[in-house]
Amino acid sequence: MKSFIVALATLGYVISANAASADSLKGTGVYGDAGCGLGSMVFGNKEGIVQVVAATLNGTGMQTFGITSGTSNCGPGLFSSAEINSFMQSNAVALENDIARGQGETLSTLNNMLGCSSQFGDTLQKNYKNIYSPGINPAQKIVAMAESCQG
Amino acid sequence: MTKKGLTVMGLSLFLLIFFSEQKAMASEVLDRAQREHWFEDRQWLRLVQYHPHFFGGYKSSGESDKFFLAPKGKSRPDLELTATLLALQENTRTLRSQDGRFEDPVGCVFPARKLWLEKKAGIKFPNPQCERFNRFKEILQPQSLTYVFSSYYLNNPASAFGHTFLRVNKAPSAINGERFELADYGVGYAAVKTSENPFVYSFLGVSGLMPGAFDINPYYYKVREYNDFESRDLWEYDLTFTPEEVEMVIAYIWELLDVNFNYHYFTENCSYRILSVLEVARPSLELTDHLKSQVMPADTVQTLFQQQGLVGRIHFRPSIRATFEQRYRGLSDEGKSRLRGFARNESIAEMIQDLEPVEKRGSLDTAMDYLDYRYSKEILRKEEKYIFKKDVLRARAELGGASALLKLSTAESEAPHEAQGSRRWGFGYREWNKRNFYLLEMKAALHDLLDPKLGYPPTAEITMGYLGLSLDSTSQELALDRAILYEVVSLSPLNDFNRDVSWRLKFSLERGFENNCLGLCRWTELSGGSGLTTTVWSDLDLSVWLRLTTQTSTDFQGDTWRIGAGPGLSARWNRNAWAVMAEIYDRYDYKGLNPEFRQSSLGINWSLNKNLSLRFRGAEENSLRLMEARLLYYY
Repeated sequence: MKSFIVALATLGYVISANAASADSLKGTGVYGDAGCGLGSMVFGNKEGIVQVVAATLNGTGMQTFGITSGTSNCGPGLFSSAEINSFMQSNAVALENDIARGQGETLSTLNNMLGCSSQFGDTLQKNYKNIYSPGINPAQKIVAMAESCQG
Repeated sequence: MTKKGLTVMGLSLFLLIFFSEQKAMASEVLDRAQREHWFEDRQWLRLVQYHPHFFGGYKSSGESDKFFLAPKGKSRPDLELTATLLALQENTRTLRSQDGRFEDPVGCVFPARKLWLEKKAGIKFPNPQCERFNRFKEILQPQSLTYVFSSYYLNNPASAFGHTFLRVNKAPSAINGERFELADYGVGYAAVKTSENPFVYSFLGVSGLMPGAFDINPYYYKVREYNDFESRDLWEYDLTFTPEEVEMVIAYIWELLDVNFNYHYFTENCSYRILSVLEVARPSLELTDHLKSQVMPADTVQTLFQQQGLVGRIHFRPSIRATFEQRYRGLSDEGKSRLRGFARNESIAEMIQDLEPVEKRGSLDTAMDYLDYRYSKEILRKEEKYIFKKDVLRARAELGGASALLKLSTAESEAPHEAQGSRRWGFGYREWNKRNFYLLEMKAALHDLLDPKLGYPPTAEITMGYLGLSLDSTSQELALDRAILYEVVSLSPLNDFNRDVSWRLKFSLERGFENNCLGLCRWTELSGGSGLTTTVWSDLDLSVWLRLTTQTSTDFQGDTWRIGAGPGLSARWNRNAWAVMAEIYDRYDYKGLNPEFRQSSLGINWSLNKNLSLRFRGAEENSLRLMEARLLYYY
């Protein structure tokens, strides 16, 4: 788990660095403080980054919303690692479909969040078996693979 | 005098002048505000959600104390305006958030009020440091707004009439200038669930005793929940707000996020509150003033269309079911037949063997959507079919190559903005057991199986709030014939891909010549049933039913209860302006004097235009005949 967080934090750093704001990501490594965007919103439900639909099933569909103070770390159009992670968790089913198909809205949105070109979609499709196999965390695997397209 | 003394004196003098000037400005603005009755300005009333009170004066529907700066602000727009002006001028007062975690200056808690008052007064108030509000704007990156309608969901009474919310659209991506809607944010207003008990929940919802609050989530949450999990279409209506108006809406949403209202299922519901937010940004909009006594989410889409130039482009986001059907239509005849085979035997190899790669891709893509549509719960919970679906995905990934972009056809047949009104008046004439009646009826919502399908679920009937009165032409007796609190008939056509049963449920007050009534009498009825439906020639729905009926009345002879069950048949044909429906129901009672009850009926509807229909109905109940003709007006 710890390495997962480190990987996410590294990714967040890489993206911010791309935006030439190298001093960004002063997060503590905990999702809620990991940076800009969704990551800096505090969800009332601690499992807010898990499937919202699962939450709906349990009858707790509504997420409360709050924003902590402090300045944001990302520039416009950029996403924190927590935000990307939340996206992959919440869109797990649709994302896996898109990766198998090599195409789709969920995949292109993720590509954009990761700062990858659409070719990254091909890479993911080719590696489908490695990403989605027992004992592997797909989100972690995708994030690790994305490092290659961020130069 | 020392140099230091001089400095102190100078500074005090400066401060004195500075503050008195500020005070002068404040009192001048206050004078103007009072002289010109700013508190009666429509935008001020809208900003604080004031409504004229029944006994005169105003009352705000905001239920949180921190929404008001004046102690009597809830009912006094004038005092609230003065308090707001003073607080913004002085810029010293801070407010604590409801959860007690944050404390912000007044100007940061009420940025919309500040914007409006600055414009009205033609001055600038001091700008406090608004860290949290600025961050909120940074996260949203608001560029434009879209009104989203999520279509009907019969399996949950709370969403039976659909749902609407607002999408806050982000700026195009900094990397490639494209728009990624999934990364936008959705702003909705919903009841805060205080009870799991559906009866308590319904009662609280209808009576307005349940708190309601705004919520904000990434748009992908909404897409996954509505499109994929509940299989509901999303209709997206771009709104033509200027950047300045968008800024106002965002500021106002921020003000409301920490405020509670009372949620009213029929009136001040999700759609109403979102419209009230839009009105704040553009004074000329009149969205909530002329709303019907009950607010149907689909009707509010038409309300937006009535405002000149407010709606821009329309987008359609198909449900997982619509996506599957579209992919299926794109297959060759051979491919279709193989997919039907796959739905029966679940053999991937059989489905794709000997096909060209491009056809294999099409088949596997369609199979994936089929599994998602039919087993959405299992797949999400990673049970049974989830494992099987993995095989399909693996086969598809191994095949490689990107699928062609799915061309989304806007299912015009269900476009909510084209739909007939959800309310109805009816006038007519009836001959019944050799007696004659004039008829008057009204229905609050929503749609029945004889109404034109355009804009509604094509195989469902939902009635909530129906009253039918009759006047006996000889005795001049005026009587209540029928009152329906709730009725749903959901026909679910069976085919290779759908195994859901049809169902019906009704709770009503009825009147008739039941055999153990003396003449005409009234009874309370709770009835339901489940059935199997097949659709042929795309417009003819044939169903077999097993139905159960419970009736009670003090006017029944002997026992006051009748409980019976029996088989039923129905045939319904509905195409464009014409619809016909025939039904038979044979009921065998466990209680009551006469144990057998046979009912057959035939209804015909001719839709003259969007607002008018002619309807004929003939029925035979045991040996009693009924014939009636009605003119129906929809609005």
